[in-house]
Amino acid sequence: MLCLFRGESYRLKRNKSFYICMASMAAFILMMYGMLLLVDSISIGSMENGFGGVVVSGEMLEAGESIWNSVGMMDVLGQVFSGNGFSLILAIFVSIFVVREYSCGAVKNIVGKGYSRAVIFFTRILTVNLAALLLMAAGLCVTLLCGLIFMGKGAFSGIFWQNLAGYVLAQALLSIALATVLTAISEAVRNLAAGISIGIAASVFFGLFLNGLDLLLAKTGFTISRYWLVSRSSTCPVEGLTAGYLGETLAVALVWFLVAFGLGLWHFQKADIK
Amino acid sequence: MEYVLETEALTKVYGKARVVKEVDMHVERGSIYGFIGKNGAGKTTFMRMVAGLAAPASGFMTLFGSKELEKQRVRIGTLIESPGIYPGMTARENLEILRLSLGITEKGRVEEMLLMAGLSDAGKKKVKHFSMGMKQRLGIAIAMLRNPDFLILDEPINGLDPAGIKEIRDLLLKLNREKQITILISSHILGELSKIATHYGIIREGALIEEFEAKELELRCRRCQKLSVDNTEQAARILEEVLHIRNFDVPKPGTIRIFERLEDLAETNRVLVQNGIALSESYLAGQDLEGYFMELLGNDGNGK
Repeated sequence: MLCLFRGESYRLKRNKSFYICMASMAAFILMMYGMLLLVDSISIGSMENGFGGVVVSGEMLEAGESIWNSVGMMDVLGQVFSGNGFSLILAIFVSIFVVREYSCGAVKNIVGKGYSRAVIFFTRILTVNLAALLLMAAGLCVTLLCGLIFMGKGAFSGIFWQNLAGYVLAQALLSIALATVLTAISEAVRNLAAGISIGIAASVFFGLFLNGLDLLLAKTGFTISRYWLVSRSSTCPVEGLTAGYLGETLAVALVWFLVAFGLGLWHFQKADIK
Repeated sequence: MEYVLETEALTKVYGKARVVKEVDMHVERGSIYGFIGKNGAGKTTFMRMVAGLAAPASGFMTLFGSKELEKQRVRIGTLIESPGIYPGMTARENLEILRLSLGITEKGRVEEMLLMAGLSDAGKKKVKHFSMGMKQRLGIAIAMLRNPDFLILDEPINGLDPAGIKEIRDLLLKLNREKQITILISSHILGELSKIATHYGIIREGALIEEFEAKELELRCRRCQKLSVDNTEQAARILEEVLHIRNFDVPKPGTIRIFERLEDLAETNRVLVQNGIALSESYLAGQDLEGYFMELLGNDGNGK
């Protein structure tokens, strides 16, 4: 299995879409900081309100305060990982990475060459999870670096690192599970357009659907969206994460990981390779 | 007789369609087995099953005399339909990924395969810019990477120009003769297949209808005078004693094939009739390879 992982890692290193997705992450984060800078300039009066189509209103504008006084590093991180940006990029990358094996026929070089299909599938899951963590790490690094530039060292003081550790751990668990779900989807459809579409639907629209179900089930007190990966990622608190919340996050991620892995493996073992 | 591949009633079903029907194939060690059939006959599906890419609905298979197929498949190299290559990478990178994945420790193996396939000078050219011939050669290099004992090639010369076809043909002959690699190769180009195959298997509508050696094929395609007679024994005696013809055979009762004196059919007919033989048919038979296969495959076959 180690040999297979080496081969997959080599493929990941040479994969252009991986670097494009990383660059997209960085661009998304830079755009977000750009927006915050614009808001800050308007708040402190160095730019006219409405400049570039950005309208700022509320207490901050009236007080003429800098936005950096109220927006912390963890808030920005929360926007990066809790919005749909990261899950969208992950959905696109996983579809491309997994489906390409089928579209170019390279999967035929590995299947039936002495490795069981279970080992092949597990190695693929490992590689995709590695890619997901690397994408996350890249996003984290860009966010922190930009934070250092725009907010200064003060943004990293206090219990920042403690909050960061808890938040990153929670997001990492959810990302690994989400990457596994997306891998299973891509493996089942084996078509790039379908894989990307369903992946995006799973990342973005399924959460909206579950929010609707929450309203229907409001009287029961049961919040179903709490147990969907992307929804949980969106609502993950940036500060004061408790052990109980982390434990529940681990359980949710584990269940989704096992279900996706099980279904994906079952399909991969049964389906013919064309 | 040692067989590299033996199948027994191997069957594949897609929905209600039986695309491979109880195929019993025998591929001898060291042979080049030409697998012939029309489009949609089931060749590729059969090869996929042997390569482990598709599961049979029923039947059995042994590889190198063993039923432990996964273990034995490490000794097989395959090129099924089109080469499995990453278009955005170079030939070297494609081979390197596979070398790492298959756990081949010799780094020089990649260069060796590039040299064998004539792709050493491909350099940084990405595979998507390769010609069809280059891609096919890379596919064969990929199949050969682990030094297999058995090569399964599905139409490896499709889309190649004559020079490319000759290169592949020479390469396969070299691999078979120098390294004793057994080859199962399917192709529509019958003329090319006849230059290398030592055995043939004909598949029609999913069923293997014939298996024979190349020598047998030559015999079947030989020119002869074919006679339908009422008394085979008497006719044979007349041919030997009166016409002094020795080179003939009796493929079945009532039929005689004469392989000499083909320039004077009328004389042969006259002598037989004069000696009391009722002659219902007498004609010059014998086919070229293409004609023979077309007859086997059905007259609307599409071999070339």
